Amino acid sequence: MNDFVIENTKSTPYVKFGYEQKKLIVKGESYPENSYSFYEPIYKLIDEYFVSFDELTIDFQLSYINTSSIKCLIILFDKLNANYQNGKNIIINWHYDEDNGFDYDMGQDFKMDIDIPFNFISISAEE
Amino acid sequence: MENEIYVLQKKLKQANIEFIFSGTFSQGLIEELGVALKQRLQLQQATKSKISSAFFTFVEQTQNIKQYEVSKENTKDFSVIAGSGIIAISKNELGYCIDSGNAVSNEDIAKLKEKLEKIISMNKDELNSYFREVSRQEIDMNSDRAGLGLIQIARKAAGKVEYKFEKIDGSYSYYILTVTV
Repeated sequence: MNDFVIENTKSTPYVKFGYEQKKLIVKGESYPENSYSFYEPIYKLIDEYFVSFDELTIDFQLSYINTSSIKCLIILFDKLNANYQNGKNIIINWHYDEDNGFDYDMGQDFKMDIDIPFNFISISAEE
Repeated sequence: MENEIYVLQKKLKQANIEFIFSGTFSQGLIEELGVALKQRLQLQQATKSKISSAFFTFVEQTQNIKQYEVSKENTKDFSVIAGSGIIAISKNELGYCIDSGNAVSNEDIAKLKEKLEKIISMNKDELNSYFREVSRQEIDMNSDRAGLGLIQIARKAAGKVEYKFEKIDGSYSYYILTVTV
């Protein structure tokens, strides 16, 4: 299965679904005009992925998210959470910039509603 | 008589306005202006958290203005509302002030005022739980997006969000939102 990649634009993040590494990466900024049309293909990939795979690590690094993207990410997290509750092995790594504040707070908002292990990783510690 | 552009430029300077755009916002324009705004604030050595709060407020407000304009296409209000948007960023003692404005139909004011008053009356803890509540309610993507955006703006603001409706005539007003980050 080939990896699925969407290159980033000014208002949409880089997305990579790596089937071999069992990893989904979402990195950049998210404030497109139509957030739902950007995120919908990713929902479909997740549904298809969990038909044949049992584990997935998701690395998020989103420095800025507008409110319509927030709604789309809530849908995404709900979807992941349903799979987690069905026994799939899922880990979320939320990479944030300590100086930004915005991205860390967003992660805290998302974390509250789901049961999936949710790790906060400072990008300054990674550098 | 002084040249109008020169008069305008002097006024912007007096008001400490660093950055301004007036007209119709497109997504492409919002992206370009957003990048320019971030660069401008970086040059001034603003902290990352100030830059991201200013950028967030800028994007939410301009996208709201754009969305409102689009929602009025093919209505009698369009000629007044189209192109009436403005966004200005100025420096003040607390940080940066983001003012945005656009013409609105007087019929839409009551609903907007109700949302604004509710948000302004809340402290940060109340805003946090209200954000959670509304973010889950608003999963329907077609629902009014201004609600959640305003809550998020208020959460990130340094002080209280301020607003004003200047009367244009019996049918329209000019809505101004002022946010300090």
